[in-house]
Amino acid sequence: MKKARRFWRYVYIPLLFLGLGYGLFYVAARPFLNFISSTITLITLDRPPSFKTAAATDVFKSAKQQTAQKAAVKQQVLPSYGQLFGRLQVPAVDLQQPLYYGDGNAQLAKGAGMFNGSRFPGGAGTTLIAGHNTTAMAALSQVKLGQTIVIETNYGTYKYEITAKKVVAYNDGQAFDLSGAYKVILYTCYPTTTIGYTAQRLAVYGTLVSGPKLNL
Amino acid sequence: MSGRTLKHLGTLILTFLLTFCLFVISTLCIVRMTVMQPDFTKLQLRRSGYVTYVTKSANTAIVNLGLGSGVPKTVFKSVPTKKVVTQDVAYFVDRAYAGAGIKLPAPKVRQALETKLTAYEKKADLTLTKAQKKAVDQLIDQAVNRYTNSIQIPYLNQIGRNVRQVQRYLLLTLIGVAVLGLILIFSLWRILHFNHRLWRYLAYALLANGLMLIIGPVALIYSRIIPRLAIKTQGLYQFVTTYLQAITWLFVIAGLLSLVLGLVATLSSELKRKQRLGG
Repeated sequence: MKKARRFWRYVYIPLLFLGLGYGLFYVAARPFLNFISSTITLITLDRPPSFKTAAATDVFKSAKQQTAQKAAVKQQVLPSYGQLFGRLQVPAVDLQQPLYYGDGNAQLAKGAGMFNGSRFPGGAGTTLIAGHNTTAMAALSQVKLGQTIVIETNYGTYKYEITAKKVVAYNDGQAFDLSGAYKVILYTCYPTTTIGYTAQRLAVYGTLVSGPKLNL
Repeated sequence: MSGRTLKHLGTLILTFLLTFCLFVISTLCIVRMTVMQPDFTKLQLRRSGYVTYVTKSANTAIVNLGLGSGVPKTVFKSVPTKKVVTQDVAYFVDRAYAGAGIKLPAPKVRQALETKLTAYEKKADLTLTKAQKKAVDQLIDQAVNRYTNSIQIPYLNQIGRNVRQVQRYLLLTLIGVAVLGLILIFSLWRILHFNHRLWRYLAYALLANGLMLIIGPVALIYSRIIPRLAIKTQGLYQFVTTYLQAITWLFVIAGLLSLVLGLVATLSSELKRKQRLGG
């Protein structure tokens, strides 16, 4: 009996001390518990974060291409920022690049990027597309007036005739005016063969010749 | 209440205080070994693969900057190297803990950028004007900036400064609590003398300390708070979670060690008791 009592003392006394110790911590921390709890809620998520980059959901390939003159809005699959949604071509100079929605570093590293504040091809406005002069728009300086720009999207194929080509300042508001209807502007850094930051851009302008107009 | 009961109660109170002292000593020792040590931070950086993530993100940032300045992808594709990043990260950690709070100079990265750009200029037969040379210098400065921003662990400079301020006080506290612990052990010895009872009460203290060191961290691990931290960049996330989990597990290991010592004290007590009763 005594042995059993002695043995159990080695169990319940440490457990008693454990309870007392944490009890004292609780009493001392009680004024701060709400703060601690709300801070933890603030800095944590419901589940561990996932860093898997979503596969560039190929909106361009997944939906059927519309060949009808009028694309119903419900059939146009609008891309999310960063998604591949089309292909840009200037066949005369062998320019062919994937077209992404968004013109951030990640998109321009992979191809041409559409400024997300401009209109989609086919929309009643101007589509502004950028590319680096060493990659996507390397051949842009070779285009001539009258040549064709082709933009294929998941909802239609658009052809534009090149109407102007000029060197402009990067902050020239008139040169990058997006109010013109059914137009496209392709641009890149200029001079195209220099290195370092340049204040000029080579801009190529096109007017829509064919392709379904969107009611957006 | 009888005198004997009072004596037992008094001894238990002293033992509880000793438990508390042991807990504080263990905690402060772990803090000294981990948060206060740049080598521990560097070890966790290695274990978490932080350098790999940073090398990749710094390279992407520099290549993108180059693309925006007319420099093809291939020119900067190997800048920076993993070796240089490892050295710079270690340098940054050492300087942060020294309270220097520096801006990383990154001379090797700057040199690599200059060398590769010069080689590209020669290969492409580019003759730069004065203005273009200035633009190129700006490009290199920006690239080095992007690199150092990728390397510098947020808030580590501030943590380093705080560590330096707190270090001395922590040591004094540790010494103070250790002295208090010795006084408590001495008091128990005076009450109980050097016999099996002293070992028994030491066992209570060590076992309780072990439980206190284990229960809290295990609850933290079970709650999965650490893996759910909202950190956006993968490299930093891996480093912070690895760092915190390492500290948490150190508490558990210290607790297990204390439990083992408690069991040894228990056995000592029982053996001494047996010897005493046996003759």
